[in-house]
Amino acid sequence: MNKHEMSDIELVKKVLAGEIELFSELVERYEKLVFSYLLSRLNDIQEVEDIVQDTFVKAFRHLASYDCERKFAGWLVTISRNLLIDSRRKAGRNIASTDLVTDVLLSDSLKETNAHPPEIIIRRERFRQIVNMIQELSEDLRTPFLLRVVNELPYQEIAEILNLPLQTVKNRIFKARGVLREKRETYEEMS
Amino acid sequence: MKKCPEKEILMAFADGELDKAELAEISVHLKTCQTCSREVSSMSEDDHLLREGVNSVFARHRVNERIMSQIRSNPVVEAAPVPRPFWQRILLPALAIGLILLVAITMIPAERKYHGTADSVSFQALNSDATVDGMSVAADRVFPLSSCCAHQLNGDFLFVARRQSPAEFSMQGIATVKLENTVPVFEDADIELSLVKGNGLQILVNGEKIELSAGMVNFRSSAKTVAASQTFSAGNDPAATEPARTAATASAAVEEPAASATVVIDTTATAAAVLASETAAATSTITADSVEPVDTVDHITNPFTEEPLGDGR
Repeated sequence: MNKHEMSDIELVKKVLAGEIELFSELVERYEKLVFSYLLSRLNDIQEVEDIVQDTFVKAFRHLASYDCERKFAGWLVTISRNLLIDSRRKAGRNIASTDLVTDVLLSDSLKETNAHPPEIIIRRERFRQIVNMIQELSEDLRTPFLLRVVNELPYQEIAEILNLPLQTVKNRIFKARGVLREKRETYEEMS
Repeated sequence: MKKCPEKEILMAFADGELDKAELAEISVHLKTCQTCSREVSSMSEDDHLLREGVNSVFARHRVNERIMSQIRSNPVVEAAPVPRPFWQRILLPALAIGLILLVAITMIPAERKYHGTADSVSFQALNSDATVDGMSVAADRVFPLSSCCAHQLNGDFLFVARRQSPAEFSMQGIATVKLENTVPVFEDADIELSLVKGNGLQILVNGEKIELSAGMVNFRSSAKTVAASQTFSAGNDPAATEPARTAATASAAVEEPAASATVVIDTTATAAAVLASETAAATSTITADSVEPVDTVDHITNPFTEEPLGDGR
């Protein structure tokens, strides 16, 4: 069977059986999920990268303890969250960063578009507004919202990953959209 | 034209979360209602723009090669905890406990304090949204917890209990907290608790004695209820090492693989009924009808705002 067709559990079993290269398929599947989860919670893109890496390495090291009845993505997010808490406790690590997530979002995401036709300029401005508006959301709202929008996950899966009731996830995404809509309307009125 | 649907329905439509019948109904409505149609388009366009932007950043900051390189350099998977035989798991601890109780009853005249209490406890906010006594506080400011002064906390906090082996746990929610006979006491609490570090600690939450333990992922309690839903597990329980181990066990094992886990709530029949059986310790659920299950555990760290982070960033 092709590795892309294998379920997470099958991959985990094969990795545990010694086929460690198959772990790369699990990284492939969930790196963006962990990345976007951390992106919503950290200021420093370097720290996001480091914790993404630590999350997967730690998951690999403790793969034998993984509960096959649980979603692999949820387990990764739990590891990620614990690493995040640990990181917060280490005061020395939290130095002012020059690689702010917001700046990186605004610069990196626009690198492809060197030309400046009007629609690209409009899109850039729109994206800048969205990033700024999302910054102002509380973390509670931002995380499920980004998991939904960036990873296009169904509400139910987000609920399982974040270990939240489904209705809570719906409420938070709805509230996030509501806040963004209000901000957008305010911005449009101003401009 | 029919009445416009709720905004929540439009969101669910844009997110592809409606069933066929609702989908058909909203699709028809959108053909005739410019306002709703604009709302959905705007939502979808913004989502698309954000998704593209983050994808682009992700593509430039992937670490998959770094991950695999680190794994290849040391391809060791740690063994899962080995299940111990029944006599080791049940009989020996039972005999030991019996012996200790016998000694305690006959030899120790003074009033006994239960283990896991703290010599001193301090707390600090985990992000800038948290308030102490209604005031915003710098997240790196450490508050001592004392018996003479209760604090009203709202938000995410990290507690550090110092004793022979220190324990750290996080709290999320609203509570009045103080130290009473070396025990952290949470009153009027609508909170979630999670042991972050250490082997365990006993606390009082809304009058209930709780043992925060390493295997317990989160404990949720509401002032309106006795205890609220939480999954926990026992790291050394045989069930925890079999294929059907609980998720909580798996995650707990990552942090504190060897610690045992029990939750003790003395006065609540409902909770006690659920908790009493040690054999059921691998996975148990303390349930309560949390009135508004909105806020749970997932926001413990600082947001990606530009505000200074709590720990000095």
